[in-house]
Amino acid sequence: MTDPEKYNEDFLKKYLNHEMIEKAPEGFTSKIMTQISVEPLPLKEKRLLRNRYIVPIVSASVTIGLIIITFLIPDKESPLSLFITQLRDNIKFSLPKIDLSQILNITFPAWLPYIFIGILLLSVLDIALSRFFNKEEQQP
Amino acid sequence: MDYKGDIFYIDQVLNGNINAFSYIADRHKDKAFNLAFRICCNREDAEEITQDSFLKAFRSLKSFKRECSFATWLYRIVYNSAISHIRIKKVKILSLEDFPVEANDFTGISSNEEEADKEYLNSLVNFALQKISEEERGLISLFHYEEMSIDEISEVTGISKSNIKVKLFRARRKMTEIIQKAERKKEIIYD
Repeated sequence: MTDPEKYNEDFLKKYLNHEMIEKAPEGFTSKIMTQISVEPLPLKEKRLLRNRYIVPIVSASVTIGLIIITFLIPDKESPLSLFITQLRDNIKFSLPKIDLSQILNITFPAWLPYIFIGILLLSVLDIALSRFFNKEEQQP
Repeated sequence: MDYKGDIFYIDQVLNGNINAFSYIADRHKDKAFNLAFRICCNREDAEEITQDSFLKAFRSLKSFKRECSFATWLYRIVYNSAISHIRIKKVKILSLEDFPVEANDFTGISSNEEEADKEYLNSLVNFALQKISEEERGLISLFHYEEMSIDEISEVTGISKSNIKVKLFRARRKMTEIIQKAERKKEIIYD
């Protein structure tokens, strides 16, 4: 007995095939290009890319700068070296002394850790939801 | 000129060469138009839907993630637009009496017999397509005209593979019955 699925598929091949494709009307592409010419350009988001790389670039520059400075500083006996040491000591003296004992003596209520855990969980949920909806928005 | 692939022209457009989009449009216009036409069964509506779909694709080109082919992505836009269009605009369901009996009925609009035969077959298919649901029309078109695999159809439509197989089977069965009925009607009149 003939498989009905195969029979229907074979029967329809005469009527439905790639050669019977309905073609777009004449001048279709030029119509599209005319409409597109008034549209703003969908350029790559260069600003976003620059923002993405700015943190590692600044960080790498500062690190390289510090490495170079260590090589440039002359021996300890030089006037420049003495000046830097003096400057460092002055900064040390000018800094206010922080008494941590008072801060460490503060007692927090028992429910506070639960509040922090709650905030953390809500933040994770918020990030997950934001990613989910942003993904949906990006789909055409 | 050799077509250098969708991604090449997409990158060109994203780098500011707007004219590169014409190669993409030229490449995909016929299949996109055919899909819209088979779903809504009307040339004017199909043209409007296809144009809108290309515009949508152009506007969202930077969000095209390249996880699937550009064709699949574009057909998804065309398919969704056509389905929404047809659901908003209620289309009249035709009865068998509305269908012309044979190829001679098309000689007025066709130059020769061969053309008339082609027109007849085309109209018979369009008639049968109008008798099934818009979703089934889309599936039939993607499978038979665009020659897509079940996996690709699933990507375009968002319907599960097993569901596509079931829906395609039902759609084919309905279309076969409709076409056979129309052909039988022609035979009865001419006997």
